[in-house]
Order: sequence, then structure tokens, then C-alpha cells
Amino acid sequence: MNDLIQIQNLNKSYGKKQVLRNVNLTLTSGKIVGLLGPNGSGKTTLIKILNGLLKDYQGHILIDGQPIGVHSKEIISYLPDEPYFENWMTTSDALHLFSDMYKDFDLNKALSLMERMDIEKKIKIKELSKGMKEKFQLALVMSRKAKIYILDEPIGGVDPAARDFILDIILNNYDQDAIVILSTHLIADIERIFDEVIFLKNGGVVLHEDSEELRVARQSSIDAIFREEFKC
Amino acid sequence: MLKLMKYEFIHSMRTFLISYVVFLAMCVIYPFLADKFFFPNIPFLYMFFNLGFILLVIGIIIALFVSLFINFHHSMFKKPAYLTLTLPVSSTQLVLSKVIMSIVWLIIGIFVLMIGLFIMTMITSFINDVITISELFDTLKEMLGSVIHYFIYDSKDFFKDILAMMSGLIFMIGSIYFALTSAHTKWLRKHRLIFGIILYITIDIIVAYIGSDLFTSSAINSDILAILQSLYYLSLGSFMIFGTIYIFDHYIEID
Repeated sequence: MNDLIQIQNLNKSYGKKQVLRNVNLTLTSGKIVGLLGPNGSGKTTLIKILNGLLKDYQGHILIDGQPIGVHSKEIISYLPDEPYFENWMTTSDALHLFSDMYKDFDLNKALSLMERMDIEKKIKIKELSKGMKEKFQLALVMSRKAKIYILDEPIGGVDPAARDFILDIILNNYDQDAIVILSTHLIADIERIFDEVIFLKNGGVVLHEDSEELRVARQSSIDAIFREEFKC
Repeated sequence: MLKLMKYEFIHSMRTFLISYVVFLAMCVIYPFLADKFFFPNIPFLYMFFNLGFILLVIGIIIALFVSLFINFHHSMFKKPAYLTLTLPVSSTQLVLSKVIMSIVWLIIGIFVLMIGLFIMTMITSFINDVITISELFDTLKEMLGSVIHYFIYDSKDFFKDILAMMSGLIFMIGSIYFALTSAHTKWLRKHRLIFGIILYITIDIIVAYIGSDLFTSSAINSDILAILQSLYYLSLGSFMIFGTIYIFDHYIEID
């Protein structure tokens, strides 16, 4: 196991509003990490910073020992909370783009996942339902042999029946040496797969622990601990 | 970089191609409309149809501007930015591939403009029996001869014109990209697109004002003055392109 993500004294403000406060985290390979927090806790801001979508922040971040840049983009496979495809794109266009741009993209794996999801080739992505778009995007993201997977609300837009299917896709398609960071509100549906959990509150890390140790210590589920911690 | 350019070409093809096809179609249709609805006795309508030529040219120029704005804004700052900006390439490669492909599309646009105006002139001439087929071929031969002469014997003018065209295009693209990118930083939270457009217009006015002051001296040879003016726009355009890259590397904020 090695430290893939090192964050030191990370602060980020939007105008006068501070959205991340002195975040310090070290995340090691081979783990599935739950990034948990209520709306406005800073989860998406942290994810955007790690993916290079927000550049103006204070603090130091190293991804695989290097600052955020081309190398970090090479090793991070990112699933945003909404589809990012252009309206004109077909599923085949997206497959070609991933094949061309990512050295670690496994086209056969993507095709086999698409078959499982009943998604046809050469179909316009905008004609897919919201849930199917999200599944297709997940198929692309999980078909990369990345060192880091960052999945923002991967089960947020799908029905409960599809959630197990998506979790199955995630669990069976990531490299065991990789790290999976998963942000979600739906903790009860997903907590069984977490190795570690991070609770973010008002932009600060209030808890970062091994999920099993946490359950044993508190004699409670992660969902119940979360509800207790963030009780209004 | 080549792969990026390929995808930039595919991405921008739709907006530019639609503009070109509509323009060429209008160039073909317009002479027939003008012929059918020619109203020399009604000054307002007569003027309207005469203005058609000019309106078509202005229309395609506006369409090209809008295409440049929309393509860059959409792929770099809207949802597709989550894909574009997480591709494993540097900001320099990303921005330069967009600049190069925009130049390609604008050069194609210049040819489309010339072809469209030529088609329109020819059709109008045929409708009004001003020209025959053999005269058309003679005209074409003459035009081709002039072009070849220009390339071979007027190489100094050719170089000067190419430099002027390229510097103008680079400045236009650079200032659009710089203005839109400046609007997506922490200093502005709302109405980013509107601010970007206002900043672009402001930059253009200031640069043109300074340029008109700097390059109107009658003491300097006009050729040298033209080259200096091109270099002025080229250096400002390059500065804005690298400014755009710098903002992407240090200050960008994607909603």
C-alpha cells in the first residue's frame, strides 16, 4: 500500500464563504473510501479540486507523489454527478474518444459492460434515459485501469433496483491496488463496501476512520453514525 | 495533440458547417428572390433587396463569431468541461488545439465567403443575361491567372496579406478565449458569459483605438506600417492565448 493522495492544509473559499477548511487527508491504495457529508459540506468542491476543475485554492495536494496535472489526470478515472457528453455524441463516439485519449481504457471491457446494461452501440447518448446515461458513463469510467477512481454520487440518479447492479459493477471492475473514492448521500445502500469513511462537515474533516473499526467502536452502522453526527 | 485536434474538429464541425451550408444556400436562392421581387418603384423594398448582399456577408460573419463563442464556452465551461478538462493533456495542448482548429474553420469560412459571393454574382449575371457560359469560363480563367500571378510574382504582397490575415485571426480567437476564460475565475460568480462578451468588446475597442493611433504615421513606408500592424495584432493575440493557458493552470473555476 502506498499513499496515492496527500492533502495538506487545504482551504477553499467562494467569495466570503469558506467551503473547505484546513483539510488534511492521506489516502492509500487498495481501499474503497466513502466521502460522506450533507449538501454543502464541501464534497463536490474537494472532488473538483482533485480533478483539476478548480485551480485556485490554498494548501498542498500530491497525487501519486506529483502535483495535480497531466499525470494525475492520467491515473484518475472520474465520474461526475451528471452526464458530461455532448448532444451530438453516440455511444460509439464516446467509446472512440476514451480509446483515443486514455491509454488505460479497455474497450472490450466497456463493450461487455454495455452489453450487460443493454446499451446499444451507435445510439445517440441524448436519446438514453437519465439512468441509462449514468450507467453508460459508469461503464466507461470503470473500464479504465486507473489507480484512482473518483465517483461522485454514482447511485444518486438510479432506482433502488439498479443500485445493487451499479455497486456490483464498481466492486468487480476496479484494480485491487487502486483507490476508489465514492461520494454519496445514500449511505445505507452502500456502506457495506466501504473500507474507510470520511465525514465532511462545513468544509472540515470531522472523522476519517476505518469503517469496520468505527462500526465496532460505536456499535452502530455507518448510516446511524452519520445521522447522529449530522443531526439537525 | 493530433487526437485532440481531431476531436475539436468533430466537435466544432456542426456549428460551422451549418453556418456555411445556410450561407451557400442563401447565395444560390437570393438572386432568384431578388429577380422575382425586384421593386425599383418601391424604394424601401428595392433597398431591402439590394442590402441582401451585405446582409448575407454580415450574417455569416456574425454566425462565425457566435460559433467561436459557443464552441469554446460550451466545451470548456459547461458540463462537457468535466470531460474536456479531465483529459490527460496539458492546458497548453488543450487551448492550442482549439486555436488551431478555429483558425482552420475561419480560413475555410473565408473561402466559403468568396465562393458564395462568386456563385451569387454568376447566378445574378445569368438571370439578367449579362454573361454567357463561354464568358463565364473566360472570367474563371482570368481569375485563376490573377491568383497564380499573385502567388508567384507578388510574393511580397502575398506574404504581407497572409501575415495580416493570420495575425487578425489569432488576435480575434485569442481575445475571445481570454475574455471568456477571465470570466470563469473566483472574482466573478454570476453572469459570466455576459461579462466575457463585454470584456471581449472592451479589449477589441481598446486595441483598435491604440492600433489606429500607432499605425497612421505617413512618415513610414506603408508596407512596413502594414507589417508592424500585423505584428502588433500577432503579439497581442499570442499574449492572450498564453494568458488563457495561464488562467486555466492557476485560476479556473468550473461550476
